[in-house]
Amino acid sequence: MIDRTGQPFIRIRGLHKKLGWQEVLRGIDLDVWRGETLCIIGPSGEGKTVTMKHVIGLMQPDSGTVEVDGIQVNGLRERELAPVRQRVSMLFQNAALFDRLTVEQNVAFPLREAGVTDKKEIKDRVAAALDVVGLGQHGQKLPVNLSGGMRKRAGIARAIVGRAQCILYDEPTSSLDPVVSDVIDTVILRLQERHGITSLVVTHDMKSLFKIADRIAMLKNGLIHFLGTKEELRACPDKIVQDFINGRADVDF
Amino acid sequence: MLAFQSFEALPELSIAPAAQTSPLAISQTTVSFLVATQHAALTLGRFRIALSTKCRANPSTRQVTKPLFAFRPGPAIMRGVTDVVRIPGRVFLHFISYMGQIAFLVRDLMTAFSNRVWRIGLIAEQIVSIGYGSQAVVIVTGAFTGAVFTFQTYAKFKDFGVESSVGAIVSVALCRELGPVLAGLMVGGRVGASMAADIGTMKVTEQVDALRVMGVHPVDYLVLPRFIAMMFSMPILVAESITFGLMASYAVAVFGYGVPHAWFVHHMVDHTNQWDIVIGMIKGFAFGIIITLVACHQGLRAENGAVGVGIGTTRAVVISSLVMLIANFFLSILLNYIWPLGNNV
Repeated sequence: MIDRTGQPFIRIRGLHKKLGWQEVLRGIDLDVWRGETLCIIGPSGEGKTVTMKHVIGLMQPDSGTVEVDGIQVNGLRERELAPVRQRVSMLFQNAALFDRLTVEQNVAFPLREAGVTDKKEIKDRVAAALDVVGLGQHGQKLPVNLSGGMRKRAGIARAIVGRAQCILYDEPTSSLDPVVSDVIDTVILRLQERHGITSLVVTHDMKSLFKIADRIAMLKNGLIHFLGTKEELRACPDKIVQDFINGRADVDF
Repeated sequence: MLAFQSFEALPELSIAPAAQTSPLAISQTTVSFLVATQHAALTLGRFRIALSTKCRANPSTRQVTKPLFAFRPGPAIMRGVTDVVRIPGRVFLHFISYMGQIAFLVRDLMTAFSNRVWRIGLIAEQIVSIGYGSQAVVIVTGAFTGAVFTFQTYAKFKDFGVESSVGAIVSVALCRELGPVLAGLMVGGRVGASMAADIGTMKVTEQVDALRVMGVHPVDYLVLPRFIAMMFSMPILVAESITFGLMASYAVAVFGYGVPHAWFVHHMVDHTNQWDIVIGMIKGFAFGIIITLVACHQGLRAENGAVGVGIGTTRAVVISSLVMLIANFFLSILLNYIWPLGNNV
């Protein structure tokens, strides 16, 4: 259930970021409401992942502000970001599981680091998280022995085990077959419906986009080019938007 | 604890008279100076970029500067002239930048120490990897160095009729120089490369970012256990290197050349005191710090995929080896002349 009362869960204002000489973000304003799934789309290199990394403090903006649940993220030092990172978790493009740990150990990692010492509690919470993503039988495997889809699902389990209120997904269905992509989409939807998790999803997968998104933001030239619902996106007369969502290239070989 | 807290409050650098009294305060001041220098270098860099952009954009500036460059001696000469300034300048800026990054790493490491979150399992794992895993390399290196050194020294000593003193010279050399330096170089090659590759791979596969997202500082999790394990392992490895070097030396001298056992041992014991061993341990300790800092720094700044990891690994070995050799020179001066330990001066 999307809660549009009060402050947005994520509030971005005037976000500017330069990487080297390239101005990747040129003044982004974006709100993500509690319980909402907002998808960010756009051509490669337009700053989708960069925007997401600002939300969780992996990058600091050149100017502008980023607030998460009322906490201003920009300007905080690495060790001061703990309150934000208790609320927000992230699924990386390649899941970023620790190679030397089994799936269970990977999922238990945030709990142990958060100071949970009760072994039974850790075991129960890990089992519950793995069940949500359908990996209950694969807890003893090492990441190297998992398929791409299973790795992403293990990454989601690790993201939700700490009871984060918001999950950032960086291309959760990239390089997955359509069936596995659908499984991932279902997991994202289930987390939103059953646990009220707020989601910020960067994706290039249009099928996935239309399945999971409540709202969509399209980035182009470092700015928000389009912001609206699925229906508004489909009906948008803008050529760039239509070319992008229909996968049309305007090239002449 | 108080010192760590006040240290964290830097980099507003202030050198109080009391800060120069204790070694910790001196190290804090040094690190703070490097942090401040790094800030200055960054600010200078930004100013230079801003100035050059402004000058390019402003036609009046271009007109003002034009007469200064009216004489053009030719591109090759100009390049040669500007290179005289530019290349040393670039090297100097790179050096300052590098030292600044190392200073930040040291600051984070000290904060990690002061947080007192000891991951015993990880430390034990690293001790096994660094200490236990490097033993064969260090023992073989020490043994054959001792053997060859004895072999060469004996030939020359025999010309002077003092071949029975071979144990003394080999012992002192192994304890003070050869043992720690060669053990350091071997461990730097083996462990330094492994550390840089491990952390670098984690960096380029976003595992380091994943740690940060879970609220774990990468220095706390990746660097601190390696640092502690290295502190623990390196002196022991140096001791092993020296011991096996001496055993090999004994074998070559006594069994190979027939030097009497009693003379070899007498000269060795007579000319080697506990400070020679302590100096070796101190050097091993220092080399451990160098290897860990350089290797972890290269790993944490790795980028651009496998190529970046490869470059970082190579740099880790090369830089740590060079820094160890340079540091060995200054440590030798320090421990022989400034704070002389033992009676070998």
